[in-house]
Amino acid sequence: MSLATLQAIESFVSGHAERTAMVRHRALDSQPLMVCAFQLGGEPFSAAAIAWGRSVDDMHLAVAGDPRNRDLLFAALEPFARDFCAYFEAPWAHAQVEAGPRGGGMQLLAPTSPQIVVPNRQTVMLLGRLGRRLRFLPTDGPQPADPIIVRHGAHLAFLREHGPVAGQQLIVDLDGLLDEHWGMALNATERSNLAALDAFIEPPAGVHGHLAAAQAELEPLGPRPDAEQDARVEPLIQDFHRRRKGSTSPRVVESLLSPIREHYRELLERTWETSWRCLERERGWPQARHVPERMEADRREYSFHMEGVEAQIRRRSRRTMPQAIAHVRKLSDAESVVATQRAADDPLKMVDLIASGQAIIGIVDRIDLGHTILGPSRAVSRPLAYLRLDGECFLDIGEVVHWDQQPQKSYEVRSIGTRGGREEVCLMLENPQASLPEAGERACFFAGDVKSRFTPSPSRDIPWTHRTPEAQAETPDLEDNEEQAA
Amino acid sequence: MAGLAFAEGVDLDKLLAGTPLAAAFGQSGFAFARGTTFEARVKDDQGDGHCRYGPLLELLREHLDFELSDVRTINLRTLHPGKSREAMAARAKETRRLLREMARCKEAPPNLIDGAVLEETVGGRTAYYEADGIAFRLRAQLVIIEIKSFPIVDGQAADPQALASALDQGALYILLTRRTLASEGFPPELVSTRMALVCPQNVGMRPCLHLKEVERRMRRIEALLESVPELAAVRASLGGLDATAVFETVSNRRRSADDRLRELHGLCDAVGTVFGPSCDGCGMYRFCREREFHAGSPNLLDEAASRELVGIPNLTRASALAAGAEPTPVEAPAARALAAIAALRDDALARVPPS
Amino acid sequence: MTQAERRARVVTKEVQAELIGRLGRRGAIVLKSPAGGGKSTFIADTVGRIAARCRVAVAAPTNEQVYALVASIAAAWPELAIHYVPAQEAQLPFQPPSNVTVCRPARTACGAQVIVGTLDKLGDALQRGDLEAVGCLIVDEAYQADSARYYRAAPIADVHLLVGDPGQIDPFANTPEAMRYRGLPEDPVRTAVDVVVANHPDTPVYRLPITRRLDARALPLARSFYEPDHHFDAWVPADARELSFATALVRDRRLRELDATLRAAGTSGIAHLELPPGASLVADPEVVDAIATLASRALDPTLAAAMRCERNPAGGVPLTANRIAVGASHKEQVRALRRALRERGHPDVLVQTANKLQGAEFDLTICWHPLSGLTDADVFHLEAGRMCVLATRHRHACIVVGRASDRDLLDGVPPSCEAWLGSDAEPLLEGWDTHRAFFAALEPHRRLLAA
Repeated sequence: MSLATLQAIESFVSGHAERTAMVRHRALDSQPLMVCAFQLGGEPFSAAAIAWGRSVDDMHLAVAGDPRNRDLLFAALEPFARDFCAYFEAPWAHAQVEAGPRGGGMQLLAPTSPQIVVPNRQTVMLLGRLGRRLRFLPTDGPQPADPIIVRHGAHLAFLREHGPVAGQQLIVDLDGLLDEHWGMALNATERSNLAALDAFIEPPAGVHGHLAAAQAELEPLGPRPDAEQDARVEPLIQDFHRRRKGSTSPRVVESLLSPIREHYRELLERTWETSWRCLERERGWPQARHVPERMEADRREYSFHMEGVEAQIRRRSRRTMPQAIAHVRKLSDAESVVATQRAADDPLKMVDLIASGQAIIGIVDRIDLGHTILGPSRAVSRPLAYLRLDGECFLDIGEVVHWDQQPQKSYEVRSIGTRGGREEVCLMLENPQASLPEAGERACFFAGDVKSRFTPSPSRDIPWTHRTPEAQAETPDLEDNEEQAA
Repeated sequence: MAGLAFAEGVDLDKLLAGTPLAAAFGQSGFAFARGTTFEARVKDDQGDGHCRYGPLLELLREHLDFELSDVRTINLRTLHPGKSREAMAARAKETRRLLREMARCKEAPPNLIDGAVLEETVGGRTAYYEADGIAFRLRAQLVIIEIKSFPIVDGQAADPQALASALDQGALYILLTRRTLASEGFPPELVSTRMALVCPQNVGMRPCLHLKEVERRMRRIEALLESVPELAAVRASLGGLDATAVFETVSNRRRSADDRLRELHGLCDAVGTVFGPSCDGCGMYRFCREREFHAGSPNLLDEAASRELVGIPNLTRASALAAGAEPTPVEAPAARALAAIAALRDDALARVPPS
Repeated sequence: MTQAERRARVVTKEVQAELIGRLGRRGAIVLKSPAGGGKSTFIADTVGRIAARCRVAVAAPTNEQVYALVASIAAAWPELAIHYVPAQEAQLPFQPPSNVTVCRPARTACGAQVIVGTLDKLGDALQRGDLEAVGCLIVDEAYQADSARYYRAAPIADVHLLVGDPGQIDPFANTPEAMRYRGLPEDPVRTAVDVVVANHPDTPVYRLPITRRLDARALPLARSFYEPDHHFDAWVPADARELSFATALVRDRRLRELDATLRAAGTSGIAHLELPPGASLVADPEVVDAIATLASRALDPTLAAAMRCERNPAGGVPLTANRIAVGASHKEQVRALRRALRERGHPDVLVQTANKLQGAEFDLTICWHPLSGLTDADVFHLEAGRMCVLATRHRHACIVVGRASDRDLLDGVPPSCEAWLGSDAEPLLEGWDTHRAFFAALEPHRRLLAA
């Protein structure tokens, strides 16, 4: 039984979503760049329409006409790429040299990082696919692409890769953000629809959240259109082709785009408004304690990426083996560390840890400040805290735990016994410089790390076991883009 | 209900059209167009259905050692145009004949069949299945080819579910081709359980070919086909209820939506429905979900969550138990967990998040 | 010597000869072993034979596995100096024998003839330059070592011997994004064996044709988990072992039935206790009660559980709490079982998830069937490796506890499952088939526990 399940049950009774968090576990910028998009059918590597802007009143719209045509698509992407790069690269312009994460080597770091907000994870994947297509385009030769589009592609690809890092906020998918903070009586597939989430959180007066969500999900917010939406634009596109007679000149195209533009404006306006409303609503909550630390990690990743872009380092489309190893290790580590941070920062998130036996909560019965153990040369102070639990202790003797008020300092579970009919755990503070809870105070201790452990990167030399006898260094996978004539 | 609808031949996607619980169905025209465009490209379709198969043959040469100088293709789609049952039956007959020839290995049979049709009896009815391609290299095995327009990017399908559907489809054709050969007295092993999947490579439309073993999937499909009940058997189990008439009423757009829905509710009450997240994609999803909503059913939640509510009749009761209501013996285990986590939640809400 | 023993000896000699033949060149050898095949003994034996010709490193994925390796190698070759390189917080749970040196810091093991440590630790030390290359690396539990872990330690030698049990649980990552590498050569989560065989297809793969832990009675069950072409027999014949219980007059019908289950398992080596059909919570309280009571009864002095086996043919060896293990799939089940056992006065009976039981051995195991109480079989619960670990830890008896409705889950059509290019593995469908085979093997041993 989890808190999310309980809150889903409660949401059914109350008719609206119930919080599963007391604070906000991701930073939300006051003026992020919101991006919404619609594909044409299932076309994976293009977008029929993109809306972007820094506030709800500032929606820019680019429409390709027919995104299957490379020239039309790139012409539409160009203003988006320009605005995107201007915003995304701005913090980097103020980069300064700072000390590395553990006081190590000097790094060039931007003072802040940008933030892109999208309605859902599908949009992150679409932008990622666009990035995959654009970043390897040649900027010279027979079909040169505008360098800004190529640079834009590099940013989009980076964001798609960074997206799955737990707790990151360089690219915020709103459906994920809401799912993190709210419980509601919908299954996982239904919860990937932002309109449904929004409706369940704030249903119209007198309407049950579930029914409101069922209604709201009928009209897709994109990026995938449904058959009806596409059926409406199909004749418009046919007409557009007829009239332009094969021309891709901007003057001709612009004059003919109105009907298609209006079609997508209507669709994207709904996505746009829903997205901003959801964003604003979440902004209202206070920020969690560890969020600035995760923003730091974002800042470093962003700076490393920008450094590479500036140096025009050609990245491969596929990771090498050592890169894949490091990648999975980093993501696995972030998953467990961030889950622990969330619990340490938020009593509601801590509920699941207590229920699963990874944390204990109770009243501090007494503190023994004078307790010492024998060190290498003399007795060292190791204060003891005796915690009388509400429930049972499933931790092991010797297990390392942390007090949620000071999660970086460690305590060791010394003994588990009973006192006055309740379980009593004796915890030994491993660092006398840290603070202790006071007698009579309620306190919570949890197992798990709020800090990543450092592991050195795997060697770039691939051992003989992991490569074929004839293997050579891989060459970058540069794409030849095929013309997809409409 | 799903079994009944299939047996009765009811199109669930269209059943509730015109009511508030109508399914959103249908593929975007553009998605369909992408599929046909890609297929046309792979087969070098000259525009009138006549194909030269250049790119496909090149892929077969590269991956299956097809000799380009020894190609004999046959296009059953142009031979028997259209999708009518007559055309499909004719193609099925022709496919059977060609397969016999291939199996006999006598004088040069065609070694690439485009538009093969395989016939099978499912749930007591004859169904026709159209394979994208069947390839044959002399003295080797027949290979089923499926052409799909989802891309393989950097060596892997971005959508594991789309890939799974494509493999299941290929597995079905392998099974049906084997059955056809077996019915003609030839060893079914003539058909390889490795299928060829042709997809766009990376971001463009250049086709690539991947071979994939699907023997286990084939056995699953076989079990699936066997599990479809015959209409007669299904009708017999209804105890006199005339499901056909009910379905007719339900799909009748001249009746009021209320009437239609009421009829369908009645049928569901009699036959029973099983609702869960895996119902995604069924035309009756919205209808069944609303039933579950009005019943306050735990099936509205994720599977893991509804499992934790075994013994609890509905979500309202679950909430009451969480608040401390006295459980019945059947409810007791789940109720304990609910009350425990509710107590933790209430306690948490009284605390202040650390800063 | 039995036939099985003879065949096993032939295989082990072949592997050792192959290994010696490769020294100085480059390549790997794989030895697949069924559960309880005697890997540790084989590895210890091999180390001694190789150590005279070259320096050897022996590695395994976890600390516990390394402790066991240190113990068995040191015992097998008392004259051989063993250098144990511990990970930071690791500590041998026993007093190191006189021929074992604990090397903290790692570089004190540099140049040693025999080095033992986890893959992580050896790889780390190698990368830092604290250890030099050796002539041969032996990897134990190679099917539990993932490619990433193997990567760091691999450069330590040009000749590798990988020994493992392909039936047990595959390595996994706790991030869903890791799935994108599935089927690709750079997949960090594929097994060490997979990686080296994929890159070196001519790598010889041997199969150990024997199990020493399981006796002949357990063969039908064990064979469910291995490929049909991996033929193996039991070293111990069907009549060598017996776990017997004294007769006891018991009023309570349920207790009588549980006692009867213990007796049946003691005689035939296996029992499948089925509770009434039905869906249940993860921590099904009735299953918890049945399992805890079984364990408690097995230790009840009035039942005087006693064992006879090939090591003690005279019998009369008492069953102790530390030789019983209870295995489950979920931590929640483990917690509930531990509580129930504590309440019955048996806090010292080991209860663990299958993950943590890999490689361990007991006299009596009681395992909670992974499919128990489910309404649908899904890929997690169908994982064959989990069932294999739970069902192959025992020497004397294994009692599988579930619900009578469990086998019906596998009656219909398997659910649809995702796919990846580049790998022929189909975990859900393979798990489905394995579980069906296992249920079939359990068929003669079913006992219904009435409500």
